[in-house]
Amino acid sequence: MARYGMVMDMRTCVGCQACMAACSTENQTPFWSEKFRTHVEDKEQGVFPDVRRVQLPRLCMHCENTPCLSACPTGATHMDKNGIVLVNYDRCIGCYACCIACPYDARYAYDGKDVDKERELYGENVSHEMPHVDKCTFCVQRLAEKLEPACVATCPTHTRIFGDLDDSKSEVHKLARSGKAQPLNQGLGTSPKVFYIPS
Amino acid sequence: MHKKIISRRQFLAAAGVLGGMSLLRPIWGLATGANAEAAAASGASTWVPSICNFCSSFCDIKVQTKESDGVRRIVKIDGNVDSPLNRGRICARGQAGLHQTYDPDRLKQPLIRVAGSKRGEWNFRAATWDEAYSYIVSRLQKINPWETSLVGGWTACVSYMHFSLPFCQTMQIPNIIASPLQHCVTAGHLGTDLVTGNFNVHDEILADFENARYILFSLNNASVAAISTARAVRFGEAKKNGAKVVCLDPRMGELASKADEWIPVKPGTDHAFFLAMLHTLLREKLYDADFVSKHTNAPFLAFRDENGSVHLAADAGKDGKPSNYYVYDAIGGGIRAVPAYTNSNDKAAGGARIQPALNAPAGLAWKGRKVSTVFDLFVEESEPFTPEWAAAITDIPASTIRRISIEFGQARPAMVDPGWMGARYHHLIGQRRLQAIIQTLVGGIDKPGGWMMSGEYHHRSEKAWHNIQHGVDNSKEPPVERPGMGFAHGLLDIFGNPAAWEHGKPALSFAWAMEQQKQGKPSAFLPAMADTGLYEAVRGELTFNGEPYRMKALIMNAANPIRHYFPAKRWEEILSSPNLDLVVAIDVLPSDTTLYADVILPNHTYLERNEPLLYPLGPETGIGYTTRLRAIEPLYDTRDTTDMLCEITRRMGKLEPYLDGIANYAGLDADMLKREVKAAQQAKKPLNEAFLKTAYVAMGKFSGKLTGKEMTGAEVEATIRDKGLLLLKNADEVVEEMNLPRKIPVPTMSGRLELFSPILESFTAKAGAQPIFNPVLGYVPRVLTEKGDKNNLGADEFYFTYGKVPVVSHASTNNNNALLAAVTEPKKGQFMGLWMNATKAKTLGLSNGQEVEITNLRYGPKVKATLFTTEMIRPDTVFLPSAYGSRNKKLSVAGGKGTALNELMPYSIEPIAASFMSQEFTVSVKPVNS
Amino acid sequence: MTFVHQEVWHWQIATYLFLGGLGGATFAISAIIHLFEGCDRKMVSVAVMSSIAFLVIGTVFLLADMLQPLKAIYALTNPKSWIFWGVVFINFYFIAAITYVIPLLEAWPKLEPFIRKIPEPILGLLERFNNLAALGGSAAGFLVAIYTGLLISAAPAINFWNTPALPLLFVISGFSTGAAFLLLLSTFSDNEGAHKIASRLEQLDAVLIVTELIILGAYFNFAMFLPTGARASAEFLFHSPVFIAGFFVAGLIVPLAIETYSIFFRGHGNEGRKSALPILVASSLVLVGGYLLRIYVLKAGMFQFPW
Ligand SMILES: Nc1nc2c(c(=O)[nH]1)N[C@H]1C(S)=C(S)[C@@H](COP(=O)(O)OP(=O)(O)OC[C@H]3O[C@@H](n4cnc5c(=O)[nH]c(N)nc54)[C@H](O)[C@@H]3O)O[C@H]1N2
Ligand SMILES: Nc1nc2c(c(=O)[nH]1)N[C@H]1C(S)=C(S)[C@@H](COP(=O)(O)OP(=O)(O)OC[C@H]3O[C@@H](n4cnc5c(=O)[nH]c(N)nc54)[C@H](O)[C@@H]3O)O[C@H]1N2
Ligand code: SF4
Ligand code: SF4
Ligand code: SF4
Ligand code: SF4
Ligand code: SF4
Ligand SMILES: [Mo]
Repeated sequence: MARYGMVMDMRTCVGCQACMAACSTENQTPFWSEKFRTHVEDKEQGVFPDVRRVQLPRLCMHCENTPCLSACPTGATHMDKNGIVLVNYDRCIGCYACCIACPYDARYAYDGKDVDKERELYGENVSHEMPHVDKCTFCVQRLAEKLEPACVATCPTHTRIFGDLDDSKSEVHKLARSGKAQPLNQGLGTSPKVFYIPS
Repeated sequence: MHKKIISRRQFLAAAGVLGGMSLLRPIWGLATGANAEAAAASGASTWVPSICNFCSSFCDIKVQTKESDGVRRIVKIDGNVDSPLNRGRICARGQAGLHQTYDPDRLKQPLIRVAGSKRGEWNFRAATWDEAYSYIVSRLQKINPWETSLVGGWTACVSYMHFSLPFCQTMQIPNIIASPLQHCVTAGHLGTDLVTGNFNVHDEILADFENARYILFSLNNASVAAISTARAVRFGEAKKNGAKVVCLDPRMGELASKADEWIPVKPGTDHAFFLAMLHTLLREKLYDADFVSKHTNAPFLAFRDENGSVHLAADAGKDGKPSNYYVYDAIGGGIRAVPAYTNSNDKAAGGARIQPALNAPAGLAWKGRKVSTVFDLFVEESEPFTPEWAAAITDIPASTIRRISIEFGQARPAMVDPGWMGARYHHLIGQRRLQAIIQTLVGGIDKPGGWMMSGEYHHRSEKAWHNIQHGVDNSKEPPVERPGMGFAHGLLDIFGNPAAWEHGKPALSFAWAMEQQKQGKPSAFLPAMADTGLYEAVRGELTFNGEPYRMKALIMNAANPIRHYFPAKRWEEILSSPNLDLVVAIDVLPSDTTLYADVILPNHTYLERNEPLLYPLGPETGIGYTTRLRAIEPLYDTRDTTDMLCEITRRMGKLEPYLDGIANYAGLDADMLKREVKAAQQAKKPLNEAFLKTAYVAMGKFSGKLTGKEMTGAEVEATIRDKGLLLLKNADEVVEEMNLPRKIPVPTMSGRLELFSPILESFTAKAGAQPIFNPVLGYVPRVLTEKGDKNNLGADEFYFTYGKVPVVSHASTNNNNALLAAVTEPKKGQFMGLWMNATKAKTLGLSNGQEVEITNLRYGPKVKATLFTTEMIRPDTVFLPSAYGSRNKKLSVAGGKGTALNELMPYSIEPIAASFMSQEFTVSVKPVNS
Repeated sequence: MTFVHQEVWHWQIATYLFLGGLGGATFAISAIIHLFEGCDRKMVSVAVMSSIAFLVIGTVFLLADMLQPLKAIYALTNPKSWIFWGVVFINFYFIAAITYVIPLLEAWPKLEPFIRKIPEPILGLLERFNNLAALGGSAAGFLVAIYTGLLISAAPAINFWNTPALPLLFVISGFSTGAAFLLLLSTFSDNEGAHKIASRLEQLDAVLIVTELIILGAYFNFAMFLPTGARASAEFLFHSPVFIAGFFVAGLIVPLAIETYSIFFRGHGNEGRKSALPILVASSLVLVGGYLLRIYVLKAGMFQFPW
């Protein structure tokens, strides 16, 4: 039992998109339809020369108080014992209620065309055998092999920090505990498990 | 144990699954493949170590494969966590790499241009390898050897140097044109190398960001944050450790966006900034006086001759090189000779302890000449370069320049990043040299928080020093084995030297330079592996010593000159010329250049091949070696580059000497190599395995020499398979034992870090005193028009800048990678568009996403681009991402997308290394159809 | 902070929402009229049968928009989800509607043979509890109508939707379209009573439209209050000509005007037949307006993301 979470250190994200590419191959997500489990926002603020460029990586926040889960009529969306919000592909009917309910744009449809294209690219042994609504899984399959999630493992600037929020020795615990890292949109009361250190 | 494995293999063979596993078979047939095989049998995943091939950062990777339905597929690539270089991380290009191998557009078999068709149109027929080789060899046999040139991209340069150079020498081909030089490293690196002596395949210096307190960047982006993973990992730590980061860039690239202070310098004026910085550091006395007086040539005495040119006070030795330099001893209070080549000034020539003074007393004389120290000359010559002076040029307030200089000087360790790509302005060599001088002044060389030299460079420097101390002549070593400038000189001795060739013709780039000099026309001193003279030689216009020097055959490996050489038109003309009897392109994808080939030889992709040698870990400070191991069986009828080169030499009757040459260059046992090659030929196996097996043995021996622990070839292989690399000495040990210059001399002329540059001095001697050749300090303004600088721009006129973006490489075919194209999509503006200041765009009536036409106002070419309006750039500057504009429709994703940078470029080179001056013009930007 | 139009639910879902509201309301109003005004069996049965058809078609649109419609039954798993309740309501609705309508169908001689096939005791029961079914049906119809609003209001980041005013608006609009539909039906009926009912419906619809206008006013007032996604949505709607002209003017104001005119100036109650045309026009406009409202509310849904 763990309570997995992530901290994004926005001081270091350079917007290199490695996380998106890593996630995409690891999880065979439909890049060909430009759908991703994680994104990197690249925003500018201000007027020359007083400009800021902010890169904000985002994915599913694995909300403790989980709107997508509440919205899901089939129970396909569930939370596993480690606090990871997952979709049971087999049970998902693709009604999109979760997509509407998610305040963090973390979900998309892995539709029939995507499933076909996936077969074409990756052969028979594919991760997504049927259409469903998809989202970040914190790479549960990697966690099982004691590997960090793909996006975390590859992030060149160590922007993404992953760990057990309940483990007092973990970096994520310390950062979240210290208040240095804060979740997004706290007003919604979703209690995200992804925290941000502002740049 | 051994027996058990064999029995398992026999069992598996019986089960009929061996086919898919043979590629995982270790060369030495030892137990090391056991896990892999077990995994293969169960269909579970297997990890194979390799090296990323999308940029010269040379990251160590592990490739995950999985088998299903009898087919082994690559499913994932990760950074190798055991790599001290990239520390387990890789960028988007590295991550997406497997889609290159599975790219449906790949070159799948040899192709020969259909007789009667034109180069430039895609009209090829499939051919067998035998046909392709016969075609090539029949043409090579008809021309003189010097009428051929190899053209190589960085892949060819980094991985096949040990094959290309002996190929040239064996075949008597004196020509190599290499893209990572003129367009990239020569200008920038030569600048830093003039001070540090470094010059290497991987002479990019891996700066130790994470231990620095203050980091100053100028003209960097892709080299760190956008992205070279080895640097990005260190940069990320620096930010976390709270280093202050200052970044000079006319626009806010990825790196500038992470800076604490972004300084939107006026393009092409950084040189003035650094001169003012030096001015300030010297006057505020913010330098490490002890280090500077001990390990640099700053305390050397120097004088001005009748023409005002500066020379070091030195005795001439037998070989024409100095045998002694002179310093003023602050303890003894007199002029003392110091040895010509050593690492430290703390002992006089006779061995007595001295303390060389940085400032000479007034009126000091040596051999009747008034002398002062090099340091004094720097103080004197930097006098006019005040922050106020620089402010007027750079558009940075004088107070900011002064403040940054002082902050920098007071922070320890402070670092100015060495920079990487330099082919932009006339002053680049001077600017990068200044950066090295500033870094030297604060003592930040080969020290935590400073510039860390690579492991390979340390090791070679130490070997050279050892040779010198034992009276061994370093020039007998193959050039690739010599450190730093020795390597450069080694190359010059071959390519720039007519006597090095049976036919008496040097490389045509040098032939061109010599002829130009003779005629008093603009030339270049070190056009090493440059394209100078090529255009003329192809057109039949080049003569050398009164004889025609023609170019008739080009063999291009991993090179895409139609897109990445400047300008495109010139190469279209060269490659279309009927005077060329043979154009060969070795590639993995139908690049724009393959369009112009007569024969296309398809290479395995990097994931399908073993490399023939072991390679040092890029710019990593530790001494370690790695290689690529094949992750899957090649998908198509493709071959290794080594096979191609060996087969060509074999058909030319020169395989034996070629193999000898490779063995010599790569330090392999020639007999073993020949045995293994013969065996591989008989078994019809790729020759790479024969080379690699021999290299494993050589590495085992080398390990014995370096660490005292000799290994067998099998042990070396086992380690590489297991860890992905063999680390013989870690960075801490290297810096401790072989510190450059604290323990051993750097490979400059004097062994010290050189503030005063004897190489520039020699150029001055030949070309006369000019700021660009000033061995002390000279300000070189940008040359934006025929007349020089330009500061009054028309209403729609801009300074032009360009650069790389994190998701693609150079002008490479990897923007055909569908995954990279997809991750680009959300940032199409930033990554593919022409950046223009939004407020300025409004005044021109231009808007975001609009199609515009860019006109090169100095040279004429026009290109179209999509506008990206942003406040993240100076109003007087536009910026173009540099990797797009492929035209070959066979590239189904990349073809026709984005703007081709090199269609806007002029052919414009500087006089030292013939580097491209690729930003020295202004442009106008207008709506399309206006 | 960015506002992004939701790209999840499109016209298919709008159709479902519209038909759900229409079907639910049609049934509810019919049943209420039945209870309070007595029953024109023919007209009411047509109305109920149409409302069932609306819901069937609406459900088909909903299913067609899903990735795995064949697994729709799984939707009865999580009672925290509005869709769960939607399925419950709709099924409740179908049961009530069918139970209710069967006895009424006896009014159609042609259907006699089919109805006779139902065992007598069951038919008897259905007849006996017809009023109860009407009562249940009106509740079910109401729930279905309000559910369409509840479904989309459960979107924390679409703050234009995430308000109790939305279900209210959808219920009122649904009932307005239901009344309009029945009004339309009544013009085809030659039954005397139908005209009386038509006047009632006309009054009801006018009241509903006025109520809808009040809710809309409050709704937009709330939306414009803070610079949030809700304001962006409202502004989007203000700048959509089809929404303003099609829904607001043609779908609300014009029918209201016609109905008001009709109510006040074209005589009362039993004074005989009114001309069918204005009713036809007004009710068609209300129906089109109701559909446009669903389409535009969906289109205007904007996520408010924290980046
Ligand atoms: N337009 C433009 N030109 C540039 C640059 C730029 O950014 N834009 N950058 C400059 C710089 S800094 C540099 S270092 C140079 C680099 O220039 P190059 O070293 O030439 O690099 P690339 O353009 O990445 O690759 C050249 C070719 O190698 C092929 N290739 C890739 N993998 C393999 C392989 O495994 N085997 C073989 N045989 N071929 C392969 C690619 O398909 C491509 O056609 O370019 C310079 N020129
Ligand atoms: N994504 C990616 N990364 C790569 C490579 C790649 O192909 N793709 N290739 C690798 C190689 S071979 C190289 S050489 C390096 C190159 O890496 P760098 O040398 O860092 O080169 P760029 O990123 O092309 O350009 C650096 C920045 O210089 C800015 N600039 C332009 N003109 C001026 C000026 O006059 N003054 C100042 N201060 N700034 C200016 C540009 O805006 C740009 O942001 O990248 C390496 N990393
Ligand atoms: S990999 Fe890391 S640095 Fe790169 S965009 Fe993703 S989070 Fe940012
Ligand atoms: S971010 Fe969205 S998908 Fe993820 S748990 Fe929260 S509501 Fe669900
Ligand atoms: S789309 Fe799938 S996961 Fe989402 S709410 Fe519907 S059933 Fe649940
Ligand atoms: S944790 Fe895994 S699934 Fe989630 S974004 Fe990162 S790589 Fe993708
Ligand atoms: S920086 Fe990226 S592209 Fe370059 S070698 Fe490393 S992983 Fe490959
Ligand atoms: Mo480069």
